[in-house]
Amino acid sequence: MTILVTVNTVEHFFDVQPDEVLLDVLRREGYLEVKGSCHTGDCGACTVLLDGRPVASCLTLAAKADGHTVTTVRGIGDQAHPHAIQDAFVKNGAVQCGYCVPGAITSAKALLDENPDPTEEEIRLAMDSNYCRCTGYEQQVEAVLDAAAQLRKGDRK
Amino acid sequence: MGRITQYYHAASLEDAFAKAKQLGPVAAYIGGGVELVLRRNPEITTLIDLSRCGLDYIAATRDGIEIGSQTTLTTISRSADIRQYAGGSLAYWTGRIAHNNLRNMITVGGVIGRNQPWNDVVPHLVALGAQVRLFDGAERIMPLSGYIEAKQPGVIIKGVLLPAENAGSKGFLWRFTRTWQDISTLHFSALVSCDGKVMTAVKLVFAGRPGHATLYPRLSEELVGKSLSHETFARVAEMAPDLVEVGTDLRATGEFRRELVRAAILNLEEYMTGVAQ
Amino acid sequence: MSIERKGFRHLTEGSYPATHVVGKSVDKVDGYALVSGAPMYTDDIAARDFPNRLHGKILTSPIANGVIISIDTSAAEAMPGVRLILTWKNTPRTFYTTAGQGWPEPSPYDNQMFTERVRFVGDRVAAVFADSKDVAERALKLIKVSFKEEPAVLDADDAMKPGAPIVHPEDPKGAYDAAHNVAAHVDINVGDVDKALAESEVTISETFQTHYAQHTPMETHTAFAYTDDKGKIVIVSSTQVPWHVRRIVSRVLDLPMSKLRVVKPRIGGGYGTKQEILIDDLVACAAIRTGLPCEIELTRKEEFVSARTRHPMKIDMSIGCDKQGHFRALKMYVLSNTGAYGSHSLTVMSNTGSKTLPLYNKATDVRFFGDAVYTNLPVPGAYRGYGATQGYAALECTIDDLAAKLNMDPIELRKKNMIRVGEGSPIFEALGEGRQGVAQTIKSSSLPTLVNLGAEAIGWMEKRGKHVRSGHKVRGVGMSMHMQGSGIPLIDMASASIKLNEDGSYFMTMGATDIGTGSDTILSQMAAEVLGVTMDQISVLSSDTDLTPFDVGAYASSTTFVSGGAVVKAAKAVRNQIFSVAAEMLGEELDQQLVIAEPKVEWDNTQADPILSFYRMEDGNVVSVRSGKKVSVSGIAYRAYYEVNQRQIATTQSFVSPYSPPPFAAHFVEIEVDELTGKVEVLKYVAAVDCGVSINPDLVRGQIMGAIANGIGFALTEEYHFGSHGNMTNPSLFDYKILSRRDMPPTEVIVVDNYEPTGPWGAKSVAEIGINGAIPAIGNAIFDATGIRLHRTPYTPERVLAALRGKSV
Repeated sequence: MTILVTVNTVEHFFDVQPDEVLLDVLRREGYLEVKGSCHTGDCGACTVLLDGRPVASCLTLAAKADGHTVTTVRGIGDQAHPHAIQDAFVKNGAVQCGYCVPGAITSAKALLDENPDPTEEEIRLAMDSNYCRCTGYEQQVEAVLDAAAQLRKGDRK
Repeated sequence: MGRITQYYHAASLEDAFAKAKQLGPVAAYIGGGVELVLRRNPEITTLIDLSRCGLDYIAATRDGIEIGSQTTLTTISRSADIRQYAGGSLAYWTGRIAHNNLRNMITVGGVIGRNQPWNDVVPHLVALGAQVRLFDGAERIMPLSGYIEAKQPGVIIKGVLLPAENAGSKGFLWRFTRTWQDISTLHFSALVSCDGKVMTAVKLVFAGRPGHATLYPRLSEELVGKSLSHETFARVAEMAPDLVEVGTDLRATGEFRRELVRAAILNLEEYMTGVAQ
Repeated sequence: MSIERKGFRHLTEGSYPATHVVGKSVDKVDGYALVSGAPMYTDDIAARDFPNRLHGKILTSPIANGVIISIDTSAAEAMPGVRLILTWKNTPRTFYTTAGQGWPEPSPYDNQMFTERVRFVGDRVAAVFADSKDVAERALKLIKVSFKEEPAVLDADDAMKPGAPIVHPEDPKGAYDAAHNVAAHVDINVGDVDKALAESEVTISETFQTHYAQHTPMETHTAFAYTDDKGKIVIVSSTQVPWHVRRIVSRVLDLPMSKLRVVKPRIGGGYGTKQEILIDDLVACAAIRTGLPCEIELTRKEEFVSARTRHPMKIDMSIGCDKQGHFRALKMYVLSNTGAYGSHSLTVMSNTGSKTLPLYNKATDVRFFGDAVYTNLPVPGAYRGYGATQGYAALECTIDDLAAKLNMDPIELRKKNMIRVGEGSPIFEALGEGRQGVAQTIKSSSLPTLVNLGAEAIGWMEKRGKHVRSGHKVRGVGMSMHMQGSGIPLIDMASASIKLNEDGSYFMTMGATDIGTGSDTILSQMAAEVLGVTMDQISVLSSDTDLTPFDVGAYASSTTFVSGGAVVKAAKAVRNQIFSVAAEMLGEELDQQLVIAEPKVEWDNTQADPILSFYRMEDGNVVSVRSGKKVSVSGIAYRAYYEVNQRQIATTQSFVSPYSPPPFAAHFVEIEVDELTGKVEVLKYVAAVDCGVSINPDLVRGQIMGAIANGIGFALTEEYHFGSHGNMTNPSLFDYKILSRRDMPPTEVIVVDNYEPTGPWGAKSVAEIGINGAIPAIGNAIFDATGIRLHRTPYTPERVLAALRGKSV
């Protein structure tokens, strides 16, 4: 079947199988920034935004995305033009192996879009999908607090 | 080799029902889709998507609050009306169980349709006295507790109704898990109405593998008409482990789950009396 | 230097030379690529460069022990899209170890690519390579295997009993006594421990049992191989040990090293599990046979069932002391379960003693002995902590029980007996990694400070022994003390090359394997510090067996110390070459002996590098100390490459050290036990750590935090469950629970820098030590809260509640 999906603001027609999950389709189409890990919706590595809300792309049937908008971490920012959250992750030592980080940043983006001044507890709750085995989470939480402060000041996007 | 060969976006409830009727047991309705992907059923070849049937709504009416079946847990958790309902227990927990990605995907209709033994939403809805609005060509309403006892293939869950008469009662949910993301080793939900210090109506629901959500009227009776005293709850806490059906799996033994049943009642006491035991 | 913010304190004890890059939390060199999800992990590269590659899937054993009677692959081979099926019938029969360790390997050669015998549920039976994962998976189901099942040994306690099933009847080379299922054995004696115990005024003996758990890296083991344009087989692998992969695969497949290259891209977490050759042999073999690029990416289930785990150990711990608590005797016996294969069996077990017992060096009589036994269970291997984690579980809990017996504060008891600066331990020399060790004297330690700061941060004096209650919950505090090592002395070798570019920037290649730890970054910092440049003037390429010099790999807490030593030496050597040209340009004398002398890594804090009294590096310039004149390094490069006396300014240096200075740590925890459910909640965790000079404090903190998170998970929730035939019953992240963001307790990391004279820029290691504290500190806190001592891990609610109810656990 063919689906129409807007990925990172660009409209695409994708040919997909009715039982294929979004993660597999995105990676096949070259969105390699979406990382697969558990494939059972438990770890959050594959998190993307579907109409602005974080979901596990490994459990989302691609067909469900038909007519909807998908944002990956590269749609949030890239190496040349990092988003404030991405900057803050680097500056706060919140990245080790980095495998969980695209998903974690994606969850953080959805949070800050809705809640520009979250508490630490709200951050932990909004990012509780994203397992990280390297950092013990603390510096990632600090990075999101830092990014939120930067964004509130208005001199960052 | 069972494979999904067709994905059908239904345009309306009538359309979805007609399609399901035409295809029979090879068709399944899809809500959030989480369970369908995780535990694929080889019999199913067609998925009927209900997301374009206008079922993502929360509406407060004279009868109570109706939640469309395609409403996600996240949306439920953010509803101002549901935050007010029965002390806000449903809103609180739909915003905290599982994890954010899943809360954004899982729909209330999906959890009811699948009714996995470990889910926390169905038992809590049962405790809250929820009803389901079903569609099988025509609409009808029945208690959720009755619906999950006798599932009706092909019928679409249109919505869940939280009855207005329970809005002022106290909803309570206690779940025992290994970590925050884990499914419940034991789930306990309660709905308690009080007149002063006396309990006038009580519903108690336990869930936890291998059992599904089950009401325990025998235990409720022990609380109704009693005062909010330690003696009242202590007696029920001693009775409950023998009455509540629990089993053994990798998360816990039945023996340990019986201890949790006792702990659940004492946590309800703490919640109702504000005194830690 | 002193940084203080919520959750992190960074202090300094003593003084050390001023630095401009070392000691700063600079950005990770790969940070921006990582945060934007650039395609740089193994599967990303395979997907990007080889979209039409073959996908491999492994058929694994459904039985714990037995022999393959017949294996029929014809139906699977006939399936469209299936390109290759590997079984014992068509693969090399070479015996090897999957453990990626130095040569000669200390682990037994008890593994073959495939054999007629299967030894655990999850053991390799066959591999299929096909056009898609889906086809490969379906083909697996068409392979008909008939097994003759044999009785299995599913409990380490039974392994050495007479009549027990023998896991390796073929008597592998390097196994200690395969006929009795003993893969490895160790027995180290200092003095006469039994006599000393008999004569001690106070003795204590306890037995602890630790459990099966796993690293669970976010990226599972992934590797692909292809043939390059010169006919070379290139393996791109998520490995911690590229050189060991090349050496072992070369031997197994009988492929000359000139025909084999191993490349390590970015790695999605290792923690030890990727110090193992699990799939590299298969993808290389398949690429050779099919002529096509071939990839294997383990699923999460395969990772749990067939990859590596932590050795469960039963440890008997005895301590003898006088009434004042002065230790005289330490006796530790380890029964280590090494599962179906002896990967790291000897060395992990050795470390259980060698990384723990020297911490209490006041004991004069010490015996450490143990057996690592084969069972028909999943295979343990290297895992952060590497045996020390299990050793400290027993040692630190026993010490607290001894303190209770002596009616003494556990901190006081430890302070009386702990190792201090200027002291050694006979264990260092007696016990190395599976062979004789190397004598060590402690040259730096903040341990006394760590204990004091940690105690203060947790509120030890106010909270210890108070049993503060709130309803059915009761609180307690506990602590534990630790050391680890910094590489394996006189064994681990690392090397680095640096060359100067014309614009004054540098290119550094090194074998050091960044598995997410940040070693590319901190090693660049060390080079930049020597060369007097900012980070942007150093670019780095690491871990490619063709393009970079040798390194043993990322394990044994070696990278900062050993690879750092190589980098510092290389940077100094290239700097001295630059000084030599500067002297030419300035017409100044410079003793060539100073230029060509082997650069030293170790310096006393007060002693300077002799060449620095002639020249120094400053902001991309060479400054003459004598004349005050300056020349730019870029000018030096242009002159050397194009103008006068032309030559390449570059060097390759390697480093091996007789030292392995231990980092130190004191962990403190406050917990609350729910007496209705047995659930233990960690309210606060404090880790005070001395890792020498912190090269990059934010990354140091990250290493400690990550280790703590993993440690708490290991202590409380992470656990393999087994079915009746040794099959893991919870092989998913749904059923195997690691800590999520909401489960992590408030944690304070206190780092107390202390210049280590043998380390590069004063640094020691930090990667492993942080994982060792959770089990004993939490166990000791449970004891403080409730008076019960748990001798089995993890501390699950069910186990805690049973103990509270007075049942034996």
